Amino acid sequence: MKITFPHMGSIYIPGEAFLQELGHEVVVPPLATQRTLELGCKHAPEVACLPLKVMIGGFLEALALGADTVLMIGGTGPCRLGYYAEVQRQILEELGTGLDILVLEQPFENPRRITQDVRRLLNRKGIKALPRALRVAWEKLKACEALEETALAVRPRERHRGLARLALAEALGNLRQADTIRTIQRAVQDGQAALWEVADPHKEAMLHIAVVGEIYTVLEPFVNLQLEERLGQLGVEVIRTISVVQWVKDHVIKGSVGLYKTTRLERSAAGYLRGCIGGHGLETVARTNDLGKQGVDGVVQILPFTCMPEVVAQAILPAVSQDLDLPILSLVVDEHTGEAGFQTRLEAFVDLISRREGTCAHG
Amino acid sequence: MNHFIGIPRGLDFYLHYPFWQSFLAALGVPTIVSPPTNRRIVDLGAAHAVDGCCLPLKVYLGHVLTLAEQGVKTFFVPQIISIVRREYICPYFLGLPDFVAHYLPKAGTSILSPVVDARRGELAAAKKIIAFGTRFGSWLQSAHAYHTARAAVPKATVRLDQNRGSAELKVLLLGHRYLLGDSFLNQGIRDKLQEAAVEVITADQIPDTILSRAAGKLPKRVFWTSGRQSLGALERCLEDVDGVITLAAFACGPDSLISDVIQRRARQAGVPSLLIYVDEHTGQAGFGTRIEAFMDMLVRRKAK
Repeated sequence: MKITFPHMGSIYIPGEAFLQELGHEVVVPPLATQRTLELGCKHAPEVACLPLKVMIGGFLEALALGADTVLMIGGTGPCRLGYYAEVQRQILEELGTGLDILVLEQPFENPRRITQDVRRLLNRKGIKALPRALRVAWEKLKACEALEETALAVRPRERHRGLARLALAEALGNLRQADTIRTIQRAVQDGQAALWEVADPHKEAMLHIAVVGEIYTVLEPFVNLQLEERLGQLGVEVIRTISVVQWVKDHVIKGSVGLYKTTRLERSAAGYLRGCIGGHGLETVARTNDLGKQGVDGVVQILPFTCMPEVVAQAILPAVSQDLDLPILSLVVDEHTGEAGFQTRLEAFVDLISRREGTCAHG
Repeated sequence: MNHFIGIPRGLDFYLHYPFWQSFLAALGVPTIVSPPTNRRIVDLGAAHAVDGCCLPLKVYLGHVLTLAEQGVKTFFVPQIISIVRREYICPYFLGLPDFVAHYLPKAGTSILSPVVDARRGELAAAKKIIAFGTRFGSWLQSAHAYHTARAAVPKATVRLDQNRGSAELKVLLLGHRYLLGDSFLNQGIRDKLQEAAVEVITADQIPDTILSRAAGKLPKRVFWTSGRQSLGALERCLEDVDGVITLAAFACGPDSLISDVIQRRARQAGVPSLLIYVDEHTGQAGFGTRIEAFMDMLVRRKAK
């Protein structure tokens, strides 16, 4: 079994480690490019949301590299992601790819199929290998996020444009090679040190802007056109509000035993949105309100075109913006999003905020 | 109009209007329904709503704003979390009252928003609705109104076998109820088909238990009620019909995936299938031509 899975930011690092620990041969799809997107658009339903298209493209590229099985996550709605795996299965089958799809989701959904899929995941080394695989993957996941957080702080302070990107890529590369808990921890320390080395200690970030929105578009740099890097290079320190570590804690660990409650988020969003609307819609409104009150300079919301939960949030955010006098920019991305227009909008947004703040971010 | 409660003729209207109407009437609440969808309502909604939302949501907003123009101050916008155990309608129904509130002036308007949540079964949902009714009367009155309203809901009792008429062609018409029920948005597709002497089967003619059972054979549970009903009807009727027409709303999330599944399933079964997306720019001529061409093809196919 040569197994592959969809990309989402740097999640391929823990994902690859997890499957390798279980004894599988892993095919990490090449990082998404324009070609991936075109492949995906060709075979996915035209009106489906962007993540589905990019994922299909990625699966087909992995197929060309010899993959024969895909690992996906499922869901129970109301967001479309929960139904992705089924549509993907049908598309891959109709194309005659022979790609098999394993779906991880809540066990009560379809106990027989899920037991089967989990068995296939464990069939190499048995359940004995699972604790270590989980541990390594968890450490790597936390390590990735720690490195990326550091990069967020370093980017507006880098000595020369692009140094932070190189340092982060190298640090993530080293992390990917690390295979024990100790080497993972060392990779993080060394990586963070290397990242701070490219920062100019006399430079300060001009502005703090939070990025909220749909998890895939926030985390996947190809889809968000390197939003974090673009903002960083405009002198902005980005506050990332979406974290896979947090998602796993909330929805996998607490959620599986019914302990995950959205009460705190609902309290933060009170007056704007009364409860969960699927995806990260509630989080978007709640965090924007929280961070606005804490004095962040601006908020960027990013979402794929027609993403239902985020569209509701997008309609509500102007009210938050008005109440808190907080600049908010909603960016909708799809396969037609152009780089130049995107950059112009970001620059205009940052200019607008810096003029309000009485500073000048760049030039 | 001040003391009337405005019910927008969109989305939930096509799912639950008979229920809400008799529930509110039993509690003595005066209601007014917005006029049937017209060009102006569509344009009004489309002009105000945020870009990415689906056509029916834009039209719903158009109805709300039309009511506001008529002087209505209180709007009836239920929050439908779920109407069938373990299922949802879609995120827009979950966020509907908050979405609508944003487009109304804050001062002087209010939104009445009962919560319908049957995720944990019908009894839990009933309790919440009765609790909502207590603002117009006592708990007993509200419970009684609930009971009356339940009896007012028409049941899908038309069985397929009873429906088998003399029509030459049978077509399965799939889509959200708020599309199939709104003859402006669907360009009067039902009349068009009936004129062509076609027997039209829709999912709401089939009892939900049958739809559930048919959809239960699918490898993945469909967690959107409307999508589950469409796929259930497709599984149930695919062998009896000459063709399938799916009406989908542009930018509708569930439709974007479900319509793809419908198309593929029909293709595999060798049944002709037509998928039409409607949006605020859909023109009558193009729409009619596509239906006619599809019907011609079905007739010729049948004659062979």
